[in-house]
Amino acid sequence: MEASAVLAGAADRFVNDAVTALEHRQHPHYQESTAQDRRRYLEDLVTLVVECVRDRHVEPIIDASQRIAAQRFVAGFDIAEVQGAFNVLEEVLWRGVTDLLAGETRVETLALVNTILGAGRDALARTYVSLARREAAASGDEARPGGETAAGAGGAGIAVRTALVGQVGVITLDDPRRRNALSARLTNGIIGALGRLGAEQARAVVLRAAPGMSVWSAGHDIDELPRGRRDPLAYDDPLEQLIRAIRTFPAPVVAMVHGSVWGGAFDLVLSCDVVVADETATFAITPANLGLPYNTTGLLHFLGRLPVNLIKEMFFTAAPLDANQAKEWMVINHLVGSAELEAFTLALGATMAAKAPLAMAVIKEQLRVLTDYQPVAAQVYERIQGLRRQAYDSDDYLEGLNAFTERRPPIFRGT
Amino acid sequence: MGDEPIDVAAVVEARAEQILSRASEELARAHLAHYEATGRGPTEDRLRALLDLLVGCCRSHRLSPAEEYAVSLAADRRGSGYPLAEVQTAINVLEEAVWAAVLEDVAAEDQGYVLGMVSTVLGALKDRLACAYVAQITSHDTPTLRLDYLFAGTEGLVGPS
Repeated sequence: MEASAVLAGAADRFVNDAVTALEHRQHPHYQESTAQDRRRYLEDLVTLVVECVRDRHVEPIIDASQRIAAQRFVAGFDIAEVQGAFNVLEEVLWRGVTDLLAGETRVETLALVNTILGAGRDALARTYVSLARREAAASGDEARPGGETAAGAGGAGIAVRTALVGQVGVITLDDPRRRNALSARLTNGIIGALGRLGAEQARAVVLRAAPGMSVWSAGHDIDELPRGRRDPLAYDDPLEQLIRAIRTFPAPVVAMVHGSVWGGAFDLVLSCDVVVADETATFAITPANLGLPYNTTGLLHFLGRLPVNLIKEMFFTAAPLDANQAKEWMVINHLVGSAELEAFTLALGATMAAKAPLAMAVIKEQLRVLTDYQPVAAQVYERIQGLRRQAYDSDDYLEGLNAFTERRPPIFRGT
Repeated sequence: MGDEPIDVAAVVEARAEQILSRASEELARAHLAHYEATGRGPTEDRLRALLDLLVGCCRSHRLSPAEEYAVSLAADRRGSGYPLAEVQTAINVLEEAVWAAVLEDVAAEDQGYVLGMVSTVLGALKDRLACAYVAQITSHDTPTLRLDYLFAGTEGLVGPS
């Protein structure tokens, strides 16, 4: 029998043991929650770990850990409390695997459980640190700025605003000085805002730029891209984390677009569940201007939404689509006048917010899983990574970054 | 596992050079900006210090040295601008190298015990490291986990009496 099936069969026992252990830890915030809530939380985690063991993937636990961290941070949990719940689960699972499995299967499963929960705990810690930094930077009292990448930190003002309109959360990107460039600071701010809105039971979320901005977002913060010899769009890149947070957020996320959308911001918009735009909207994807090899999951986002001939033209020319073209190619769901954009989008959000949240959450997750499902042989994936590495290790990539910084046309030599 | 628990510290110590070599190569392959800037020699010294700490904790069955080390590590690395993710990666590559050595050297029936102890020490260190990073940012102390009974195995689930 598969190890994951054995673990699934013992899930109730694991949950019971973990509930008991967590109660003995007497973490104040968990003590304040109901026994039912604690049990459901641990049930969800056990189920997730078993799924990760079955599929041999850590991404689901990483995504969930980031969400948990965002929710717990907002709710005032100390990081040690949240780590405690993970540790309890690890102890229980370790003991379960030791009891239920033998030989190589036992060791292999212990390694998997350790890797999965380790990845979750690492992601949890990084998210907590990131949110703590953001909060400290916003209040201007960070004890020791530096350390984590301090993009925009140091009292530059809050770049992300959050509001709740009925059951519709509204996240506003408000960094006009940097044209809403998707810096670590801004993206972590959005992830934190999603966490807060999730904790407040928002049933739909609208993602928008601040009123009056002619650029919805300038895309990935070029200053934060590594200058060669590192994958510029690695799994932990803040923008990649944000895109995953939106795609796994358990309620619809609507992009409300007024103005131009550039580069990675286009990936972000396409990763929202619905796009509403006005006539000022334009969309461009610009890695060819920088010599930047786009990541495979990013290309999958495009493939899941657009025809491949359009994707190729957009990537190869970096030319923007205007709003009418975007509507024609189904980049956007609704094209409305500027005067009606906000009211239309909020009304659409309210309509969705009135529907059954559990059904919507599961349908969204089903669609994500189905559209993400792309079996690729390991050697093919490695070959693609090798090709990408040639590009990001190249002189062209550095030339693209330098030209952007120096505001001149790049001179690419194909080396 | 036999009646006498295997000597985890001795197992790790016996393969120390191989573990360090493998961890060092993996860390170099990760192209972490701050570790690359520090250079390979000092980075290898740090990995050796971490491995020595692991061996010491396994030998003494005490986690407090790892937790104390985590606090000073956080102060030093964060002060030098290291993102938490880079420090986590350095610890993870060492853990992977230890696991690889253990799987080669240790009989199957003892592997779970050895790996459990190694993971407990390094997991505690990483947890405390994250707490310390958060505490430094927010300028207040973050309570630590009660890890003192982890070494007792999951019998510790009921907590100390």
